[in-house]
Amino acid sequence: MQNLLNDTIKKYRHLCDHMEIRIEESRASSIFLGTDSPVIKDSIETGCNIRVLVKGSYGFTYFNDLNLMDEFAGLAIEDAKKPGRGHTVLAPVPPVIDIVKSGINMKDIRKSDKIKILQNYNHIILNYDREKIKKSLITYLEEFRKKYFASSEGTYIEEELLDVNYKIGAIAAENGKTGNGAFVGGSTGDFSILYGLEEKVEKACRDAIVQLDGEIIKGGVYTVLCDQEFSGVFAHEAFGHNCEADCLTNEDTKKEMAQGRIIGKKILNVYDTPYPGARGYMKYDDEGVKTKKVYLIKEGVLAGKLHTRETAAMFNEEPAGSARAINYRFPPICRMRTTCIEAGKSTFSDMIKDIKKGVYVSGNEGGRSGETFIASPRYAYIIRNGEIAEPVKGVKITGNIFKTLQNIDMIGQDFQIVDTIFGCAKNGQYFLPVSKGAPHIRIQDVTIGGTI
Amino acid sequence: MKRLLEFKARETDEREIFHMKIMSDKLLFNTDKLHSTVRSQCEGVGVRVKKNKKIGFASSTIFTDEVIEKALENAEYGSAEDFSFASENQSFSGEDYIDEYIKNINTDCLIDKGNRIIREIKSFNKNISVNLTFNKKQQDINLVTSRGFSGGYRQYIYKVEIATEITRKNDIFVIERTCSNEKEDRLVKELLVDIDKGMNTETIESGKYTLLFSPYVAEHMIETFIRGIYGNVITRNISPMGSKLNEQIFNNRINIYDDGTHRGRTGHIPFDDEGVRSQKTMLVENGILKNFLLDLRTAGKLNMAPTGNGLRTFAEEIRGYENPPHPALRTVIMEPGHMESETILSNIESGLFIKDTTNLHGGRISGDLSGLILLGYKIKNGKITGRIKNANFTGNLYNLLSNNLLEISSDTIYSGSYKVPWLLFRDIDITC
Repeated sequence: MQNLLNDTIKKYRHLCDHMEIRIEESRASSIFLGTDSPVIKDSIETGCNIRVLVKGSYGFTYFNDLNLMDEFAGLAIEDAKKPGRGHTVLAPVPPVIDIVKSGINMKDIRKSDKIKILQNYNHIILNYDREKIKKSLITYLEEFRKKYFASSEGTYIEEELLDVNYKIGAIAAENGKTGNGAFVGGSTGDFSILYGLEEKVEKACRDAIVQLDGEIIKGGVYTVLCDQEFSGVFAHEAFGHNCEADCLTNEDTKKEMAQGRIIGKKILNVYDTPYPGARGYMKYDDEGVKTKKVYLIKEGVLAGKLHTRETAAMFNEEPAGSARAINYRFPPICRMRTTCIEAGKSTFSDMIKDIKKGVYVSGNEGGRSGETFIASPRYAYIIRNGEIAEPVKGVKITGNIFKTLQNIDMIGQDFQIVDTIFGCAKNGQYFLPVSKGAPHIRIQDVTIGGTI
Repeated sequence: MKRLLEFKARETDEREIFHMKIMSDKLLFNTDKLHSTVRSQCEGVGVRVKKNKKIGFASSTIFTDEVIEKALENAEYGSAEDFSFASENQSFSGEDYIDEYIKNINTDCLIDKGNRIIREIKSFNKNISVNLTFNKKQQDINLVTSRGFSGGYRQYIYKVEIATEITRKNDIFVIERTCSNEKEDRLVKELLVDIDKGMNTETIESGKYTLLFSPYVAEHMIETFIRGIYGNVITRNISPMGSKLNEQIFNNRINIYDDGTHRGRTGHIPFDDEGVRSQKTMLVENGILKNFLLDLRTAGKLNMAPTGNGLRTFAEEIRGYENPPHPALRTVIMEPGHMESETILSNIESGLFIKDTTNLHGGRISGDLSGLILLGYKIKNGKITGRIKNANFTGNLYNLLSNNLLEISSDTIYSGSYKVPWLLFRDIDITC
């Protein structure tokens, strides 16, 4: 494969300023249990893309049939020459030659073993409480991908990655009311995360039954205490996307989100990093840049951004390996890896004891970023006089990046890395594997939509 | 495809081969300038096999026998199914499904068009930055089964996405709009109106409001209902609609249908992805639930006729060979009412006009809706006075469309795979 990529680049190098070729071989499996019929699917996918830069303009092509390499290299260059364009410059990076093996032989892990484990969990759920637990929902996804990347600067990288993620849940129903309980997990490279989950499965069933009693929350302003999983998604939606440099190309937005702006209290530190073993980990990004940690917020002040080589050049900053594409059909754009709120000094009891009326949120069911962002917890409970009380439903935490981050007044000691199912969606590229890390955090004056 | 039909044929009761080839051209304009072009050609097969009544699925871009082997392996773990793959051969004119306008779109025209749109928006306010994407696709679909079905067609799809951004102190005002298979002029006109009306911001208090929902928000609402009538949630008994066939579920002014024969939309194809002929399916008639959306498998389980809604979509949007068929909508249409949306708005003494929200669906089981208002306006004496920010909406789909509905507009627009009117409601909870 190295010869194919390098020979193609050599052939067309003189027609463009920069050229990259990325080939991907992917084998993915998914298992859905708990439906009326199990659904198991496999996909085998091979694809290639070519990206060229000609006088500051990009041409990008992708295809499955490697025999079309020459044709699509020519098309990419022809398209890049079309008039009326902007001027793209790439931040310089050193060429790299590396072969990164995952150490995993997919043939060692049998599908029948995975199905047996999941069927066991399914059996636990369906027999936990036959009166109240009506359904189980089990989703397991895995993808083994081998990437081959070469550039006209002399870089050649092969990297193997295995992404695994799951969600296991139960639905309870009684007297017209319903309750959902679930938990999620994932990793880069580690199948063993699927083993030994029996206690978590039983907890999900208990949670589903507890949720039966939840009423729609009364809308209003609350003090919110967030568990690690929710705090992680909060970091992702509130900070992470707003620090992706390709979202900051409007000149006025650049000024509003300029480095040095105070966005939170001094206790707030947020970074994005390649975290070995967590979803979203890779040694090199999809432009061949070695991945490293970037502080986004340091002591409450906007500190850094997530870059492609193009945006790094625009901002005159260094790329840190944040250029990622969901697969060969897309060019890399600015994405997160593992986005973290750094641990603070508060204990959980410090954080809850003086909350007279608040909400405790845990787990994550997705979110959306923007100046106003939103995130949905899996569970929510009223806090009353320092104690967690009754469950509530319909809770969505919204915030404004110019106000809400200033209201994070306590950060816990209990940092955890959290992997979830599916991933991040941006510009039609979903679901990109990402993960989060955070401790408990407390936020004052949060508006929660609900009944009036 | 013939080889895939024949490989290990004796080991299967039936098999189905779905082949898809997509050629596409995309242009991306970032921050007012043409940034990149994307050209592609991809193809693959999705294979379903039935062995001892159990179904297995696999897909591949590589046309080797391994995809059959994988599908056979997966069939071991399936449950027994009562349906069979398509067998009826159909004749149809492939030309009926080709949109000549889209077919003739070329990249150079799109570059000019993109630059023109950007100039038009920036002439309104030079501080607005514009991101624009044009995407034209040609999809060739072929389906064969061991039971004798053989069919294919070509389809063109054209999608335009425009995002504008204007930033002032502590205010990042972003609007995103998309249209499919229609000319983008409407979108641009609408954007300019929204930008103009949104430059002034207003504050509101939490409370109950009269709300006018744009079709973009109406789409999110109806989507919650649609997700509750897919065959796979009915057979899993996780939808309240399962027991409500022929019962009143909404106000009697509400009529909704799904239509695979509605011309010009992406759902307009001769047969679904399992070979079932396209049809129009009445879903709600005078507020009464009439049908579910069914693929072959769920139709078999419910002992009902399939409705031609077996599609190979991912996340409700993208169709691909990588997915087995499952119930999905074609074009969902809510019938209009009797009053123009502009008249409805001008009659509102005090209320809000909600143009766009995040996805509202809290749960297909309960019908609870909640979400962030992405673009909304305050209305006073029939006029928009300014844009509201940081507000949330909460409600229940079945309550709203039964008890709170005031008006359905006579005008409709396409929003994704929906054709929907404006909807006016009373007494909706807004928190801010």
